[in-house]
Amino acid sequence: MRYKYDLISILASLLVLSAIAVACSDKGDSDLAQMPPPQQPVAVSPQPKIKFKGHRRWRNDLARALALDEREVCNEMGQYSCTELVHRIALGGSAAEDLGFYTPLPTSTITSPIAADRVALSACIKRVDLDLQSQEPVIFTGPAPMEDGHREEIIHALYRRLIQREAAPHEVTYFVELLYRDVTSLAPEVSLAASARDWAVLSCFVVATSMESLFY
Amino acid sequence: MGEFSLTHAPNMSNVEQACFKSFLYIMLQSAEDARRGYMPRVTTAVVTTALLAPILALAQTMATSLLGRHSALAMPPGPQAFCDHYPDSPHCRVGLPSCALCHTQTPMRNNFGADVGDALRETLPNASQPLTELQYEAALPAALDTIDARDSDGDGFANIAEITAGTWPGDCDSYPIEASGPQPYDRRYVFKKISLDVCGHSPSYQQFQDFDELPPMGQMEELHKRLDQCLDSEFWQGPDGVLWQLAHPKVRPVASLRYAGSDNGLPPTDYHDDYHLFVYSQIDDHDARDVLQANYFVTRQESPTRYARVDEVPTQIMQRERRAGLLTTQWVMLYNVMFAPLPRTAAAQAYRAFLGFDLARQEGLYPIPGEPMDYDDQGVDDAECAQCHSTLDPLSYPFKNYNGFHEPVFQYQADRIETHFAQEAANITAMPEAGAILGQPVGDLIEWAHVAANSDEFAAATVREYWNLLVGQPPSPNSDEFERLWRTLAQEHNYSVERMLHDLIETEAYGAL
Repeated sequence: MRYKYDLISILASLLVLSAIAVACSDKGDSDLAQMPPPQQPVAVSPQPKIKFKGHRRWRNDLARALALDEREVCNEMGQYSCTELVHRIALGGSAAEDLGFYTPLPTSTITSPIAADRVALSACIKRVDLDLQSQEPVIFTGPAPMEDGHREEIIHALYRRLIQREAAPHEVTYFVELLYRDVTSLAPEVSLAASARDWAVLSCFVVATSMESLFY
Repeated sequence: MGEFSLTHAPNMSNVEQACFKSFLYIMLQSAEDARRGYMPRVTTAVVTTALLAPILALAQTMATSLLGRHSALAMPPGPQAFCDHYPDSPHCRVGLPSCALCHTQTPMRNNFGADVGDALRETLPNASQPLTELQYEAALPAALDTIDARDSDGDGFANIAEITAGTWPGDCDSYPIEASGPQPYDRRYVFKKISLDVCGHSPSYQQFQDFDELPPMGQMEELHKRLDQCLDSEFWQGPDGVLWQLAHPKVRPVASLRYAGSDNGLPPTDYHDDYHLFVYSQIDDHDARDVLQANYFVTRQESPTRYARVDEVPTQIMQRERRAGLLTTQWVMLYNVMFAPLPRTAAAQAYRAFLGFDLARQEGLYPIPGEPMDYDDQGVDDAECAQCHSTLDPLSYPFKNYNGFHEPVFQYQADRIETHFAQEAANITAMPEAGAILGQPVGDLIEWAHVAANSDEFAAATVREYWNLLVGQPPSPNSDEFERLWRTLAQEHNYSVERMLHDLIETEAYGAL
């Protein structure tokens, strides 16, 4: 369906842009070029028919993966559910009784990727902040700033929880070395603790908004 | 003498109007003849008419029966003739093809339809236009054969290739997709899909690990077990769950009207009764045909959600012997019947919701000879309207005795038309309760529902909804898997949707990447 492919292309573009923005530094370009390629060639599906999870399935997955209550995942202005109310239609839902949308829209909208980003960012920020304040963090372990040894553990946890697989070595390298180094060096005047928090949120956001997380 | 014109003779055909004008002319001229001393031409006219009248009457009767009421744009037997000529075309697997095969909007034709028209003219070069139905039916097969090799829509595929594949030969965006051969079934992928589609969330990392350790047969068992668990989930059958979402286009709720009855002195109406009945018919081993045939209702308890069948609920007052599932609920009477003497909206909505035929797109047209009779004088017998109303009006007659807002509200009334609408149109009380659906005559709405529920179209429409939902795209026109699913639903599973879903998860369409 055209809905799926529009969302894929827009989200893929956002992902590429964000990756470029984060990695763009005096030293970043050469490091990116040295990243190993995927270990196996990607097979082309003869009948591609992946589906966007939609507002509720994706919210459920984020809630379960990030150990949040479903009502905590994202609320606009702190009280209006992003997935059930505000961005419901943009995220592939219907609104029959109130708006007469008896079926979901056949294609994604211009705000669909924006809405997806907001939901993911909200959930990730919530989890990171909860873990930073908690004596028993769930995912983002280690005292702030996140110590070297814990960053790899965090990435593995994010991959297992959000997309139910192990992170490949080059993926770990990207998050642990490149992303962390660039986030913490972009604004030297920002404290290391704040940079580390940004790294945690961004890492969670990148995995949560990956195609594997959004589609199936 | 001056010209005489008939400015208002709504019930006269053109032939009748011409005869009447001729008669008046003769009478007037005869008066003039008598004044001049000649034998009045009326005498000649009377003798001539006496001799010719029976012949003329016979000729008009034959013309009406052969050509239909509207000979200029007779209802074409095209879809049936097409399927007689191409019985194996996927267009003919479930009912008859839509008029969109040849038409953009009848009578305007698409490229394929235009080529058919040209071929017919070449086949019958001396026939006057438009062709009679008999001429059309006789010439169509040869005309179709002459354009088999042509590519009418210019999409690179010959008409015969598209007809064989089930795509639309008049639509350049519709063309056969080359089959890529069987694809490997991925059990791990299906495990994830079932969890997401039916339970509403992905399996956990650990659940994937456990699944991976099972042998292949164990994995298949786990898939069916997982499906069974998820079919009981709130995500699937709870309020605003997946099944409720499927019901939205059928029920068409309006939040502001949900309790409207109770605010206006009318019996309270709650369209959640409709949702409950729909969900109940789709779960466990219940019969999906009850959406059209149930004479009972369903209540719902919460935490956890459970549905129970009951004979009566306070928000439904339709007489039990007149109930037909979701065709006769209070909400349908309120929203789709309302004040209409002939509830065409109710009939068209049911046709679309349960059989998958959208009359507005010229789908499911089964024109009935002599229709529409336009009992309520809405002008639907005009040529442009009759294309669809020759199907819609007979489809609607069985709804005519079901009250919306007229007393007794929301109930069946045998003399509804005579009581409430007798003055609305000259012929309205002649409206029958007997009608037709899918070309079959039916005596009342109960019989209407029975024919609909037991049709191939209903089985295919039911399965298509779940196919679209779970596979993610409509079935290809020549999908054997799809056809097997809906035939098995009807012939082996006694219309149990859940059993059909257990078959669906094993299809290549669902399980191959």
